[in-house]
Amino acid sequence: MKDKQKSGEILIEVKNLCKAYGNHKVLENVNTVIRKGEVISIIGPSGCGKSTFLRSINRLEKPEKGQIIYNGMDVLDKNTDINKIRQKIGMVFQQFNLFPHMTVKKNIMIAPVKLNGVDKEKAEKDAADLLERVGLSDKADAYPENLSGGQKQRIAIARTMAMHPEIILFDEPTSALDPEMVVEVLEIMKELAATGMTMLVVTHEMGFAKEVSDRVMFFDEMNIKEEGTPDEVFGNPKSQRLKEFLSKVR
Amino acid sequence: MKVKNIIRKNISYKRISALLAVMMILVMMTGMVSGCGKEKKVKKVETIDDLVGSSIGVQIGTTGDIYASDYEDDGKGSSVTRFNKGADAIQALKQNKINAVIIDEQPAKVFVEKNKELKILGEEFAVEDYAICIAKGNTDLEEKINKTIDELKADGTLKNIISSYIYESDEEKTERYTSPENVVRNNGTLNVATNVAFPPYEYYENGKAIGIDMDLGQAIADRLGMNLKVTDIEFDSVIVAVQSGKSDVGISGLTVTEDRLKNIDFSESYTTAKQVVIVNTNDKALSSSQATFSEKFKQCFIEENRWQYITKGLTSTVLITVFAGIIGIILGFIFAIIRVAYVRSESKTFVLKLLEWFVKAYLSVFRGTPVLVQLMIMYYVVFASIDVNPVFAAVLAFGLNSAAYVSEAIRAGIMAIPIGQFEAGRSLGFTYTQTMIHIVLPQAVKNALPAMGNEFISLLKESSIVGYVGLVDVTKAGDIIRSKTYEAMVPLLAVALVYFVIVLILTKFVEKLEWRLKKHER
Repeated sequence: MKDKQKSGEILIEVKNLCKAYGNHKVLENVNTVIRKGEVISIIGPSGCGKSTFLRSINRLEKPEKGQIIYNGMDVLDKNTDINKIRQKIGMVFQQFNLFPHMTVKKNIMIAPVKLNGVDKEKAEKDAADLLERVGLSDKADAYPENLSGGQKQRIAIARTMAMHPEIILFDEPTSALDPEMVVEVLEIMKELAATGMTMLVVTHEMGFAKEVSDRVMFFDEMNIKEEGTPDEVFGNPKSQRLKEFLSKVR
Repeated sequence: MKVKNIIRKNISYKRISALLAVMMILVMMTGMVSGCGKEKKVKKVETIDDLVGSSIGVQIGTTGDIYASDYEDDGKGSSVTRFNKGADAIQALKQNKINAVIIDEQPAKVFVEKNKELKILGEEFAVEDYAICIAKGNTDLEEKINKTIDELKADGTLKNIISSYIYESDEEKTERYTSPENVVRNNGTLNVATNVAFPPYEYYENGKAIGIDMDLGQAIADRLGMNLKVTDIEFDSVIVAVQSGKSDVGISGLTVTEDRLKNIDFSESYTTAKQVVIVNTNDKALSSSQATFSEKFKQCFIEENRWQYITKGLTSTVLITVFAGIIGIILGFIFAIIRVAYVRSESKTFVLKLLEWFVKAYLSVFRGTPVLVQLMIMYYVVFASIDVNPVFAAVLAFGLNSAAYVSEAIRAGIMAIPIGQFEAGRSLGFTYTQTMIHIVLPQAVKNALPAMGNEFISLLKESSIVGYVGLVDVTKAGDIIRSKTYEAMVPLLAVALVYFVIVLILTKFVEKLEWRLKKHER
C-alpha cells in the first residue's frame, strides 16, 4: 500500500497556495501532490491552517494566491465550474451538517436525484446499500435529530459517498463526538480506505493516522512543516516543533 | 407524542377561553363606562352665539368644517372635532361628547327626526350653493353637465327629484326619479364619486345608494347617454378622486368654496342648502337609546337585510388579505434572499450591490410610513390617471407593505440556519440557488413561521382602512350600518367579533402548519 505515494496517478496538485484573513496569514506557499488512492492524515496544533488547507481544496475557502489543479482544472479559477468539481470532491464536517428537515434516506438521496438526475428508485436502492455499508439500515426513515453523534457522522459519510466522489475531505470528523462513538466512525473510515478511496483527513486521532494513512502531513507555521509515512513522522520526527507536538498529544 | 398533543390542546383551549374572557370584560366595561358618565359637565348651546367656547362637531371637509374652523382658534376655548361622517358627529352629540354639530340642513332634519333628544337651532347658520365638481380643464364635460342641469331645471325634473326627498307634506311629495325607457347608452360611463352618508342627498336603502345627488347623477347620465357608476368614498377624498381622474365628477352635497375652486371646477349650482346647528336637549350623557340588545340586533342586522353589508365586506376583507399576503410572501422571499446573498457573498458584484441598496431603501420606506398613507398614495397618486379597480390598488398596497415585514422575518429565519447547512449543500455540488431552495429555505420558513403568522394577523386587521379608497370591507360595512341606525355598540362589537374569529382561525392554521413542519423534532 505504501508505494502508492510514489507510483499513483496524480489527482490533485497544490501550487503556491496562500491564504490570509485580513493581515493574519494562515497559509503561505503550500505545495503538495495528492495521488489517487492515497489516504493522507493532516495533523498539527490548532490554528496552524490545516482546516483552511482542507477547505481550500473544494473552495469553501478562497485562497488569494496559488493553484489547485484537479483533473487538469484549476479549482481556484473563477471560470471553473466549481459545482461540477464539488460533486466529485466529497466532504465530511466536524458538525455533521445533516439536513434536519429530511429523513436519513432523503439526506443521502437528495444530491444524486437533484444533481445527477438519478431516478428515485435507483437512488433509493443506492441509499439502502450505503446505509447497509455504514450499518444503519434501520434508520432510513429516522430524522437526524433522533440519531447519536456517531450515527450522524456515519450518515454524513454515506451522504457524501452517494455522489461517488473521487476524493473525500474529512474535517476533524471525530472531534465533536463522545469518546465511545469515535470508534464506530473510524471503523467506517478504515473500511472506506481499504476500498481504495482517496482521503484527506484533518484529525487529532493519532492512532488512526498511524494505522490507516499512507502519508502524514504535519502543518505548522503556515505550511507543511514535515511529511512522510506514519513510521517516518511518528517514529523519527525531524523538526523540534513536531517533536513537541507529538509529546503533547501522546 | 400523545401526551404532548393533549398538553397542546389544553393550552390552546385555555388561550381561547382567556381571549373570550377578555372580550367579555371589554363588553362589560363598555356598559359600565357608558352608564356612569352622568357627572360630566355639559355646556349648553342655545343660540349661535353660544358656539363660542363650546366644542363643535363637524364632518371633515364639509362647509360646516370650514365655518367651525373660524371658531377654532378664537382663544375662547372653542374646539372643533372632525368626524369622518355626519352620523358619527351626531352620535358624539347624543353622548354629549360635543356640544353642537354644524351640518347641512337636510341631513340635519333626518338626524333629528330619528333622534328625538336632538333639535335644530331656529337660526340659520349659513346659506350655500350645492354644485357638481369636475376636474379643472375638463371643460368638455363641464359644458355638457351645465347644459344638462339647465335642461333638468327647465323641464322641472330637478325640482321633482328634490321634492321626492324633501317635502313639507305628503301632497308636495313627488315620485322618485326613474330613468326613461329606451335610453341609448353608448357614450361610455360617468364615474361619480360621493360619500354615501349624507341623507337625503346620498344614503343607503336596501344596500343601494340613493338620494337627491344619486338621482341627479342618474338623470344626467340618462341625458348624456352614459352609464352611471357610483363610488362611495370618504367625503374628504371626493374632490381628490375627481382631481386625480379616478372619478369624472363628484356629486356629494358639495358647496362651492374659494379653497375648493383653487383645485377643482364646479358646475352651476343645482340647489341651495343651509348650514344649521344641531344641539342635544338632553344634557345627561346617555348611553345609546333604551332599546334592548335584541331590538338593536334586529335593527342592525335583520332590518333591510343589513347583515349583507357585513358578508359583502367580509369578502373584500378576505380577498384583500389573501392576495396581499401572497404578494407579500413572494416579494418577501426575494428581498430576503437578496439581503442574505449580499451579506454572505465574498465577491459582491455591482448588480448585487444595486439590488441590496434597492431592498434596503424599499424596507425603510415601507416600514417608515403608515400603510394608510401608502394606500392613499397608491390609489390617488400612482394610479391617478389609470382606471384601476380599488381592490387591485389595495391588494398591491398591502402586498408591497407586507413584503417589507415578511422579508425581515424570512431573513431572520435564514440567518438563524447554521452556516454549516449551507456549506454542506455547496460541498455536495449544489449551486447557491439550489442550496437555498432545497436546504436553507425549508428550514428558514419553519423559523420564520411564527413571525409570518403575526404579519398576516396584522395585515388582516390593517386592511380595515380600505374604506378610504371606496371599498366596503368589514369595518366599512359596520360604519354603514352605524350611519343608518345611529347605533354604535352592536355594529362595532359585531365587526370586532368578525375580525376576532378570523384571527382565531388564522392562528390555529399557523399552529397546525408549525406542528407539521416540526415533525422531525418529535
